[in-house]
Amino acid sequence: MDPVAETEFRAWAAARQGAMFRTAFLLTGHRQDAEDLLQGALAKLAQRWTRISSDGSPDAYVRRILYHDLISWRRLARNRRERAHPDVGDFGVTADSASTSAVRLAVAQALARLTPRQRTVIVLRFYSDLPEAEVAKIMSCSIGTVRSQTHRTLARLRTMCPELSEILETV
Amino acid sequence: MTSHLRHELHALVDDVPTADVIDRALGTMRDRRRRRTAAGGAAVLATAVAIALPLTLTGASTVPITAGTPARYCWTVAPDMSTSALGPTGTAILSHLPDGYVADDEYRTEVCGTWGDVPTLPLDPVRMYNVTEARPDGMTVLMLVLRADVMPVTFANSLPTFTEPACAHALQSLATFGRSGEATTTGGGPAPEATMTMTWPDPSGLSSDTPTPPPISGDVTPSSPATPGAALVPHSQFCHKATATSPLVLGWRTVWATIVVSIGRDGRAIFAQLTRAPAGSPTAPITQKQLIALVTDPTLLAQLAQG
Repeated sequence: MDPVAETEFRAWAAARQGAMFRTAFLLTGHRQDAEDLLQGALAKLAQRWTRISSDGSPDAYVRRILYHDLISWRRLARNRRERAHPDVGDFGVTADSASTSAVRLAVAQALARLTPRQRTVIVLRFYSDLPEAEVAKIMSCSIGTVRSQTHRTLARLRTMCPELSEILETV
Repeated sequence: MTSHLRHELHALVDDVPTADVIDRALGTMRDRRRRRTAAGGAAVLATAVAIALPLTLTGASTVPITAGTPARYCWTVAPDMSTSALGPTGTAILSHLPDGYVADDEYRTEVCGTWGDVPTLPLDPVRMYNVTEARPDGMTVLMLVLRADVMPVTFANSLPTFTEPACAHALQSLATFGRSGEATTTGGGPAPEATMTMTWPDPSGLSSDTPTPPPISGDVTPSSPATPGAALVPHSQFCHKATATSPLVLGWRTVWATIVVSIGRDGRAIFAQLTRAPAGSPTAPITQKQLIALVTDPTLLAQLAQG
């Protein structure tokens, strides 16, 4: 990577790694895993920085890598016996009121119990606020698949966490 | 309401401090490029030599492994830890190098993992894996994972031919270190020629007996002073013994032996090795994260370095 490209890459990464890290954090539920996931994605981006930056969409590329690496990790680790925090991950649920805290905790638990694919749909649609077409591109699937995944995931969230029913009933 | 769900998702992570991984990512990228250009099929055989001989020395191949029975291990670390600082957060790239195969980007993406993923990989018993991390401080960490009940002693006759001098130096050293044990335990063929300057001491003093690790204690208990470059002491005295506060039991379905080779900037090799604990030791589970923490804990390694 030449110095000019590296400078550009560093500038972009410094500006965007916060948002990407939070996305990775939501996807993994664990800070350390999120760091590793993001580091790997940024390394892949750096390898192809000139081409990706000229295409104008490093964000989409990094999100795509985050998703596919997450799936790969889970596939490799599916026989893993232990997880440090299987339920709520490293999310710090510090809320201003008890009821808010309960809902937030329920959201964290629900996210942890979703499959990586379902969690990705929820995070990209409702956290990153991406349109369905963009989500479909990131996940390498059709728009219809994104819609159906979103529908099923929200239904599953309602089933798994009654606390969420109230906030999800009109989604 | 969509906005409500959005609000909750943002509330979960918006206050989380961001990690700065740019330098680490660039380091990983450079390491991948370096290895892509430097990797060669000969590395597989050299890796096998480095794995097989120390494992043979510790007797890993001589004890039958019963399916479903957890194997007891303790952690032994070589004394020369002066250059050791295994990074606790660096991402290690797992390269699967069977039969001279050099992983390309796509394949590497498929099998890429972190330290934490290493023990859970669906490893092929007759293949070897290595995890290599080139750190910004110039240190290379090579992690070798091999099934303990598959001992490719036939690889021991192969000469390591590495393109990177530091790797060659380290692995040659390991091969030399394990040569005596290989000969006495397996009666194998001619030992590999060591063509490079050794950092490890002269192997003539190696004990022919496979040492039994001591009972696991809560402390780091050096059994001999670190004497890099001096006359070799038996393996049982050569290594510092260090474990966590509880005995280590790896509850994996298959028993693996793991060697972590750390190559300092000065080219000297140090290695940590997972070996069997004596029969009858009390057992307790260890999580993979604990194991990885043990490998990568700089505090523990610093203690080991000081003896």
